[in-house]
Amino acid sequence: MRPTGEELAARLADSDPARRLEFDDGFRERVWRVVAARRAQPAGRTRRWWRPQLRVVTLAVPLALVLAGGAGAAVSGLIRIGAPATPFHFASPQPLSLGPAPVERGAVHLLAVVAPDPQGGPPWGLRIVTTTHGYGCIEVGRVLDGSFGGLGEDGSFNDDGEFHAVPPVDAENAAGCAPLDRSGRLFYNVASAVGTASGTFFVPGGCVSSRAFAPVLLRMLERHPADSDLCPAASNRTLIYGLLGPDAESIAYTLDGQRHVQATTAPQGAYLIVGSGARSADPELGDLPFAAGTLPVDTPITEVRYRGGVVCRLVGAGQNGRTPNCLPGGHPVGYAAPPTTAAGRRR
Amino acid sequence: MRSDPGPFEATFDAHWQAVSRYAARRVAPEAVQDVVSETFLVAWRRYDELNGEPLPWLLGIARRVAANQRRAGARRRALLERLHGAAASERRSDLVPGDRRLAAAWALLNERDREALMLVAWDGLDHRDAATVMGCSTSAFTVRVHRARRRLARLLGRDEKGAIEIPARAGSLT
Repeated sequence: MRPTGEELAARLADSDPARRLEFDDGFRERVWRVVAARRAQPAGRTRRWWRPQLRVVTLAVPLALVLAGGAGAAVSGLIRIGAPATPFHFASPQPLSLGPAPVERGAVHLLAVVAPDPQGGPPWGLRIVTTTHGYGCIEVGRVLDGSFGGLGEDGSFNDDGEFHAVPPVDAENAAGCAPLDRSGRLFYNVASAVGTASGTFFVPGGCVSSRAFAPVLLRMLERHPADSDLCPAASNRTLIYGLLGPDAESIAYTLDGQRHVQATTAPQGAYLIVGSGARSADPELGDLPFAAGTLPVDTPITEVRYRGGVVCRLVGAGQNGRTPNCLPGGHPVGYAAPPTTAAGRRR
Repeated sequence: MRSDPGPFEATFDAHWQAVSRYAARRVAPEAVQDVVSETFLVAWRRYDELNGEPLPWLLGIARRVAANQRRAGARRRALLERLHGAAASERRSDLVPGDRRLAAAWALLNERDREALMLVAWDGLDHRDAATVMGCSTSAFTVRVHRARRRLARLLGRDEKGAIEIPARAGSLT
């Protein structure tokens, strides 16, 4: 039966992806700075008003490289695009019983969620990788022009300053993975880590962000700990991210004394918070690397809003944040990951 | 900001949130700031052409900027794929978390129908202002949005009978 006009209007209104979106003063200031700076520039030659000049930069150089044979770097905005990183294979300190699992081609999904870096540059993003052993892994890194990777800084990529696409790690040997359930759902509601501004965790040569994580990571990279320094404090980034499922609408969190609201992105209910420095209750621990959980407790997140007006207030570990009643249906919400069956791989 | 803002700055302060939301509904999250900045830059250059309410005029500019951004983004991704051999992300889907039936029907509407419905249902414009955004007369917009609603309702009705297939992209933003 066709919906009435009122029903249709209500359903459309409920489906507005920006309904609860709030743009903070920082966003306003960034926009205004661009407008004010460009207004102050002397008028150049007349051009068609609807064509941003940036397009010349972002398109012309890659096109020239394609025509010239495609080697080397391209330019997108102010960041040069370098060669993609080669795949990494870890020497796992404690090999999993499943053994290394090749990343399943076609099951790598860059999510819509992005978060700005405190010091600018390409934003941060998330991607999900599923493996042939039925694992789902969530990776965090820098995103440029729809490509996921890292920057040549903090020792990574010889500090070349370029953006490098990074292939998925051979996932089950890396942290950040969880087994999919029988319905193919990935439960990964919260993860936190201290990363480096480069956005790379597993690039040989890069400094290591976390004192606690360093020995493990260096062994995985088959490097002696003396070979590497910890990153300078200014390079550390606190990363908190997760998938709250298709019913999630937004999170609220407090960082540096300021309250922020972030709309989650569908259909995974993904969120991503990036803060400067290493934030942890325990400075020796340095971080809580890739701690998956059912609710984002013990993080700056204070509130999760779900569809239908359900609000989950997180007031700290062991408090309401752990109360299952604040979850839709009383149980954690998982995101239905892409299929890992043979049929799914053929798609 | 100056303590005594000029008329353009007052316009910016009054409408940057609405323009930002408009952009967020139509382009990928990482492109929202660029679209909003470009919209107000164009608005500043053409400010002497403003004749009437600023918001529909600004959204009309934002509509063109967003369309250009989507086209440029698609070209960039295609080039990057050729350069790096890597799959690039698609543009943001313009909907619709949760309501899969609506998402499926929505995906089958054409761009102009979707835009007409979005202007009314999401951006909250009346037909006169929405017509300004789309660059047509009020009566033409009224007809357009009426037809768009009818098409969407028909698709939803068919969907509930199982007569249409839910497109794969309706359920995913990536």
